[in-house]
Amino acid sequence: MGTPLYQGDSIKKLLLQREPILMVDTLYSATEDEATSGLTIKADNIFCVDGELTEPGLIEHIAQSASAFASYKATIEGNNEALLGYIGEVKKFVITGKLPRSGQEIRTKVKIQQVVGNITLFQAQSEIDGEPIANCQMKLSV
Amino acid sequence: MLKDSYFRILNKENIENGFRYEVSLIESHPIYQGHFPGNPISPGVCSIQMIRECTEDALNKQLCLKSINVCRFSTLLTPQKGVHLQLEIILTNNNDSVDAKATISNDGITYVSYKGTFVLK
Amino acid sequence: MERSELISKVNSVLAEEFEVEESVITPDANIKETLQLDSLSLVDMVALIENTFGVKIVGSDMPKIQTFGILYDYLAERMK
Repeated sequence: MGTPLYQGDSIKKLLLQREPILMVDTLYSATEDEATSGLTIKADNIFCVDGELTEPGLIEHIAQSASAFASYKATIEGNNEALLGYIGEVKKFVITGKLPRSGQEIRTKVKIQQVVGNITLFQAQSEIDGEPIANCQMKLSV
Repeated sequence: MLKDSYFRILNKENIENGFRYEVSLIESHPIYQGHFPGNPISPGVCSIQMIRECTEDALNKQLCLKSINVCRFSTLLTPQKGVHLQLEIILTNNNDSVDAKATISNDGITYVSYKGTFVLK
Repeated sequence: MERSELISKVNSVLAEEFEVEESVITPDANIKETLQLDSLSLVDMVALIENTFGVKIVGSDMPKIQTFGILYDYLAERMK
């Protein structure tokens, strides 16, 4: 996949969320309308119960993946600050595989479908080791 | 997970086909240190978790969140002191799953409207 | 597509999705007010029109598309 665009501490340039709710640790790649993010689950993650990341944690990871992508696109256009993003809507969210466990890495692909005003509509698919675990459509208010 | 740390259940009553919970948010929850520093905003996913935990409370069962048809966060929610929220959940039992339609509102303002399916753990 | 057919299709698709009477959809009517769209529903409207007509609506064009009449023109222009 090549060197990640942002990883570890540098991801804080793209997101305003901080511990204990920073739910993306890597932005692997990005094109005009698609990006891939990553999060390695730690046992003390606020959304973990008995070593398993609960569904709201997964949804938050997906939302922050899109937020990081939106910030990244803004930095390309000369913006220096991370964008503040909230979830406007979650649609057609489905769990298709096992929930991530501590130590596993979630990889999420987000694809922008439309941007109208401050609302970004995107499709997301999350995987662990190449196996799909969830997908949804989401609107992010940026 | 969030009950009694992120929110408190103040009251619970039966309504037709469901339940109405009165809850309050706990401002001191550590999640607000990161969401966002100096600007506490209640995360949408925590509203989803509140709906799930109240449904678990109502059914006295542990649930998996299988799918969400749509969950709209129409108004930003902040953990203001003393603010109570009304959480109304309408449930439809299927063979091995439960469909839930829920709203979180207060004083005529709807913060969250939710439609999804839970599966028994 | 003939303009009258375009207008008819836009009206019926939007009326059904946003649960309004077709009669309130007039060329001079404001789209957001008539369909009671907030910023979240506006994106749904754009996606619906795109999928129905196979026309890509550029997000940054949306502020110009205030009325249904302007929407008809926008689509007609791109469906030539």
